[in-house]
Amino acid sequence: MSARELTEYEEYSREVYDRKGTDAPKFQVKSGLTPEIISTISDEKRDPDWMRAFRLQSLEIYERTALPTWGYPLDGLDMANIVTYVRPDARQSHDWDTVPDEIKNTFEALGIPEAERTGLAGVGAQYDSEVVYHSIKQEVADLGVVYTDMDSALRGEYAEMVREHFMKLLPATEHKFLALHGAVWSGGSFVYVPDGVAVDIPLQSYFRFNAAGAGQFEHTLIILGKNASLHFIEGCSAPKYNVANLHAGCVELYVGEGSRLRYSTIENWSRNMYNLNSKRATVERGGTIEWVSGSFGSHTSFLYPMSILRGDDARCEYTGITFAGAGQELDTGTQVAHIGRNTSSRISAKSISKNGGKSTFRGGITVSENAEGSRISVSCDSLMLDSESRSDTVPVIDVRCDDTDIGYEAKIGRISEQSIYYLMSRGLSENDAKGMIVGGFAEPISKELPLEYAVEMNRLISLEITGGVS
Amino acid sequence: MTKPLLDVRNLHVNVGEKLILRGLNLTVNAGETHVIMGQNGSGKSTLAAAIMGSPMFDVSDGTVEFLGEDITRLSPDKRAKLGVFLSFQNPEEIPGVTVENFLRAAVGAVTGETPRLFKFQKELFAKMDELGLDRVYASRELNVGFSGGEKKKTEILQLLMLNPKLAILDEADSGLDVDAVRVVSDGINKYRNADNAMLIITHNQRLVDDIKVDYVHVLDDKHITLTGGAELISRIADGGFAAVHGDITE
Amino acid sequence: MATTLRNINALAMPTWRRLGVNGAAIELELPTPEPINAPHPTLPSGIIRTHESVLRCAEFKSALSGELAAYIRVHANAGARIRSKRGEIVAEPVTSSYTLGADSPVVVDSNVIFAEAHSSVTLVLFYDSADDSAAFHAGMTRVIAENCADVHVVEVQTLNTATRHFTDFSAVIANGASVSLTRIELGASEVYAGSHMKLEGDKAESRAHTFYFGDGARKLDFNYVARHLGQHSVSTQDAAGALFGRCDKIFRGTIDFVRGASGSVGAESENTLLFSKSARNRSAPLILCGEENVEGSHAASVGKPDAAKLYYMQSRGLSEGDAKRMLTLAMMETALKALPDEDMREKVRAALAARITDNA
Repeated sequence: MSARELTEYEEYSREVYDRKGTDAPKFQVKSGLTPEIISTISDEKRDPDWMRAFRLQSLEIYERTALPTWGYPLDGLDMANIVTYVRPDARQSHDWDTVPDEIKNTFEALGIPEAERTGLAGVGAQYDSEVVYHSIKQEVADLGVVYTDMDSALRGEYAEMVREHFMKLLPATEHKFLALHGAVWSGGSFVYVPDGVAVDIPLQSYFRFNAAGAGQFEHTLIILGKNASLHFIEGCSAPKYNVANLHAGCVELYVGEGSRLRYSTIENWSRNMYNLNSKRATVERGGTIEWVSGSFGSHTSFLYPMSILRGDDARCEYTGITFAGAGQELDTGTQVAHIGRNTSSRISAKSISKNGGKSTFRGGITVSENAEGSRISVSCDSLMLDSESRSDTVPVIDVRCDDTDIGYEAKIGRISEQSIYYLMSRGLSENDAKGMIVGGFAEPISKELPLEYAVEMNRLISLEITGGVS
Repeated sequence: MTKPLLDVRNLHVNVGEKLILRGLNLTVNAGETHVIMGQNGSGKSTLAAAIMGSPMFDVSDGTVEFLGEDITRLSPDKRAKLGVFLSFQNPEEIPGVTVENFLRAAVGAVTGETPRLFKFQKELFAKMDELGLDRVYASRELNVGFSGGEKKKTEILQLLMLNPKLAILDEADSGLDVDAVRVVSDGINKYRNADNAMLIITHNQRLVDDIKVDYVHVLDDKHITLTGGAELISRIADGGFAAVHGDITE
Repeated sequence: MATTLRNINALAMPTWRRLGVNGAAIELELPTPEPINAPHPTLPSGIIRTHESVLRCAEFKSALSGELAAYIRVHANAGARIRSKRGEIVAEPVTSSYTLGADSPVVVDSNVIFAEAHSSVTLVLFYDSADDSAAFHAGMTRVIAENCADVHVVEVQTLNTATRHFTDFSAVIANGASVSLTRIELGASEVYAGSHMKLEGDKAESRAHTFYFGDGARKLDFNYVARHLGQHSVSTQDAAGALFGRCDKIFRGTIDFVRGASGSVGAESENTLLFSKSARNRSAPLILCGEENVEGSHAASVGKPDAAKLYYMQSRGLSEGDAKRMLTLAMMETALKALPDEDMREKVRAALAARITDNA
């Protein structure tokens, strides 16, 4: 369906995303990072004691951890100016009618309640630092599926499960922004799918950022029992401000034996956002993790979902597209650790660079000694739309097992003139021809997304193409 | 007097430094079918590309007029909208774009109105059936992984859907088996009527066996050296280009 | 002098440290070499001796290590410095052979090739061991290829497993010129090999072909860069090799398209056969691109030999060892083509075959 949408360029603009909510936050901490600020966040959130200690310890780790020595510069990001916690003037609700109008209107404009009615099993909506809406369809809840905000999860029936898993896959010591996350995290979703339960329609969490100069640090924890399945969708956007905003979320996914989890993201942060996000999944025997990732927004991104294929026969798929336009520096990719036997991974990464945008594909695939029979296929395709832009491909493959089959292919280039000519000879304008070819380039990703999201992605692409080429 | 559909005057075409066509003249009127014959490398495909406006060739002198309008410097899409169509010798593969989506966009671009999905599909399937092209090809990516025959049939499908005033067929039969050639020539015959015209580029006669041909031109030494009727085809088929060499008068 | 070399074979764009490919830091004793009695190789007609001063050093970038390149420059006790005269097409190679051992424990060779316009020259370098004693080799070859010149360099290394081997190559390639480097690395305890091809001119061409054989606890560490500056420049980097034992290999191959290198094409490929459960194989194939109108591609395959192929060969009476040897030797053939005569090729084949016997 996707390329079809491209042929009917709808009038489209960033207005939907750029809409600034005029509501005032109820509470926010001072900018910067101090133990006092961290304690204030704990007070505000009525943290259990272990979490209080965890936050303060993470702050210590943050302070002694250096910035990464690679990747795009983070000079524009000054933590002293970032407000790490902003509570909107709304209580969490299970009913859109009780969400304050100004906030509700924002989510209406983004089409969230509509999507909930038509094709989702549950929705979580976060506004700045707190979740303002969370709901799950009764029939899904009846299967024993838990879908709630993290604050509730931390205190509720599953508190012990949360504590056992929280930042165990992605410890605060891993890198500086995970330490920061551990100190100031707020919001996000917790999902638990019991053994044998297949959730047929997706759950979605949407993260909306409204405050200028603030940070969003939501935590997503998903645990699938044995032989369970789930499709989880994450959406994010923010209006554009002239000051740097920071997003340092953390996503931890536990995929049990024989289970299958698909995690789809359409990231469309505004162009003042530093998106330093961390995602990791661990997959037990016979389980599958599928990442579908579209990165369109932000000023600077560092994002590499990692799959740890711990169990035998575990699988992962990564299908990602990154579109770097003017002023954007997007460093994205994926990491896979093959640990179990007969594990397999299939990686397809695409990138498009335009109007001076810079994109980097970064990959890290390791095959450990015991991962006999592992199979890996990687394909990277980069499209350069002009010579002001950059596109770099930096994959590393590290194999310590002889019984491995690895195929790797990377290509970089531009749209062939001959292809444009061919389409133009059938009556398409040059812009439409380019748009169609780029849309086709992105098709393997959009076809992995639910219809509405594929449409959104194609809109974003056509917006990028028609917005600047002429 | 009505204007000719296509009027090529003194056409000079270069690729980089190299001159491929030098002073070629050709007039095609509505209702006519012309065949251009010539050996490999004689510049037949260059002529087709220059009429369509390929960016790979430079027209260094001369003009191409279509229905009285000078289109020498027009972009290919504008030429397509005026009613020029070229069936490519090697159609491009466009990954991720289905035949159906592509054709619907093309028909929309040429007619100025995107056809309604249902009506469009009906017409598309009818034409695919006529060409013996399995309907699953509508949802296949354009030319990606197509065999030579499938590509050629898809080109003819596009010809029928876009219904241009002038169809240029560049080696539309190369690499096809007998049955596929039949399908292509049937398609061409379906397209042909008194208001449109065809320019067929070929170096063998199989395709034109079943088509009524009005004029045959021999392209040699960078221009047209001989023009005659359909009988030239069989003479060339029997004796090669040498057989007609004596007829060259200029 | 004991020293620590930082950033040996530094990756063109650093990445996660845990993968260990950003560049090695090694501690070593950089020996001050004794003069050795290596006569300058005899020169075929059309080739004359030259001096290092023909190089503008700043033009040459070392992919291996700037520090090490400086050391080699200062301490070289051997090397060929040759110049092919304009228009001279010389098929006969200039050959330098070094035999390291108790008598000659340190060889530091600095080679210079200045190929004038429209000339052609071939330099072949052999490094072998006379005995089992520990030795040290550090070598560097710098090449200027003027317009339409054609330069071939072949290095064959069959050192003993007690010897450290550092080799660096750097070329500046002008319009229409072509430089090829072929490396056959069969021995040594550690191999650190760099190559930097600077495709400065339009239609400049570079080819780097590497065959490596890793066994025992050998460390193989490569860093190849093709930097495209000229328009329509073409580079290829092909590596193939077989790993046995506990060998640890890193191959970094970078194609760097600088803005303005319009119409350029770069291709890398690597094909690694793993014959051991304990070997470690790392590949970092980078494509850096600041120009729209280019084509870059990389393909890699890593794995153990196809079981069906082995079975087929065994069904014809070959032992498993024979079959492995045959497959490994076959992988070297493409690289061997660069050696100008069959005697040399046969010698290298025998050297490799002997080494595989020890493993299989």
